[in-house]
Amino acid sequence: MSTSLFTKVVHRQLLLAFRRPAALLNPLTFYAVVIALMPLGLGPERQVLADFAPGLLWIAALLASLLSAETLLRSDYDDGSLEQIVTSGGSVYLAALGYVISHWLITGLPLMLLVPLFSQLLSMPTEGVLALVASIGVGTLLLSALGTLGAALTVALRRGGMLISLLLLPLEVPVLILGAGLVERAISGLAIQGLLSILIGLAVLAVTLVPIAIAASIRISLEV
Amino acid sequence: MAWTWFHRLGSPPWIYHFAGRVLRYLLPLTLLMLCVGAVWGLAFAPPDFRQGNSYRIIYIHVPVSVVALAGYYVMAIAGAVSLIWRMKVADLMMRVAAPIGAGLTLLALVTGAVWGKPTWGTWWVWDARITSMVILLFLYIGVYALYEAYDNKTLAAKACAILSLVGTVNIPIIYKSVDWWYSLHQPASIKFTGGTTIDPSMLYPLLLMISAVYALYVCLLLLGLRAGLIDSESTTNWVKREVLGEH
Amino acid sequence: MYFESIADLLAMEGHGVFVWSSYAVFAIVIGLMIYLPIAQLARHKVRLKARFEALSRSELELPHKR
Repeated sequence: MSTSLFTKVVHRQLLLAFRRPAALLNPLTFYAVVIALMPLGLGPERQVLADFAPGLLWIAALLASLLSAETLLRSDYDDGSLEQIVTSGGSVYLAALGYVISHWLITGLPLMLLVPLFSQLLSMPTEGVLALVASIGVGTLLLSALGTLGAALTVALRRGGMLISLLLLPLEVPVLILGAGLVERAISGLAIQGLLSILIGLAVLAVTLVPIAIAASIRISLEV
Repeated sequence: MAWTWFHRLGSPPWIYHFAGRVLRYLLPLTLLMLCVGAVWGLAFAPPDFRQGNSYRIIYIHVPVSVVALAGYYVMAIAGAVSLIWRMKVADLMMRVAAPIGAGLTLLALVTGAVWGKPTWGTWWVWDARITSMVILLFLYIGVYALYEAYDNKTLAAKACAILSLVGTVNIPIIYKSVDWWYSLHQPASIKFTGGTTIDPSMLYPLLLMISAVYALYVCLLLLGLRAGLIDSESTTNWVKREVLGEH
Repeated sequence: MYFESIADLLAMEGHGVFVWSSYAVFAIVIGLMIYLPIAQLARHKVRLKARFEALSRSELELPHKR
């Protein structure tokens, strides 16, 4: 048996992203713009920005993830690839897992690597940077899982738009709370292993179980 | 055998008439319980040591909050039943449960805010319970919006079932994380009952109101179910007989 | 009754506005939530009755049964 549907989907998504760098750059640019807006809205005073930095950096990550979730499955739905994947007889669960992981590799991983830079734009204390990288890295895995679910539920709808944000944001609240909380704890000098383990546990749970729902949602969307 | 009972539940005309019979007694009983509970809580229960008379809002705020949360599970279970057994009645029950739950959550938020003003001096306080209620409201609205966005209602029900099941798993996580978030930022949280047991003279009207609002929820579910069944089954013979036979 | 008079009941030592407005909102919203499905059911019945009667009339007027 040749490579599984998981490897095929990941490979295909990465190839497409490589050929169209916009998929990689758009969410990052959006993130940078949102971060740049913060001082303009809150005032340039360093202490103010530093105090809010963990929350702001996390909220921007949530918004950027929402943005990339909207178009995640759309092109594959429109050109029939999604239908091919389902009718191919392979495991749609593995394909869904492939979408989740590839989404993280394209949006979450780059953000995790660049977020230290953004944190300094907001003068965040450096004690929090490592925690920020860890929380963003693990948290975006959760966001990718939920984002792919939202995409699968709404891909066949004509007026998706705001709906995906409405569906996803309440579900993503724990990620925001834990992620930002983690960074703040690190800045105050407290231990973060406990919280980080919880976040990792949730991410593992999400990555293994949400693709079941994603697969079911893809089947529903294809019937529309 | 148990299965015949279960399959009867899935038969629209049976459920329609069963709901009608139940409502004939449950609805007046519910209204009675609500009135008695409200009067008891308003006039006959003693005032609270710390909050004076404004605490009386508890007799509507707490029952409505509890049922609003329970209602989400009802909606999710209906969705699960609909997914597993493909029951049209379960579809409808899930669809009906969404706006009822949203309405109760909204009531919980409004009463909570009005309670907050004399208690904490401000109309809105981001405490653990109210924040969780806000998220619950958005979860309900999300399910309803997803249902309305799909033109094919069978598919809509399936999609909403998936969404509410994912939401169900998420709710304890949301509650726990909001609780933790609140304790992070407010070291001293003022709980209403503060660890000491609640006095029976205050507890009994509260229990009555909680039961009353649960009964109300069932009534609203059955009422919505009946209206929905007549509409979605409008081309069938049993509906024809029902609509014409009475006149 | 805990309160001395009806006036006291309404005032509730200054908190009356809050308590009574909450109960009023509660009553209004609950009343609406009960009324709406009942009215909807009645509307459906009226509409469907008219439709069934129109259908049976048109069947009678046809020279042959469908």
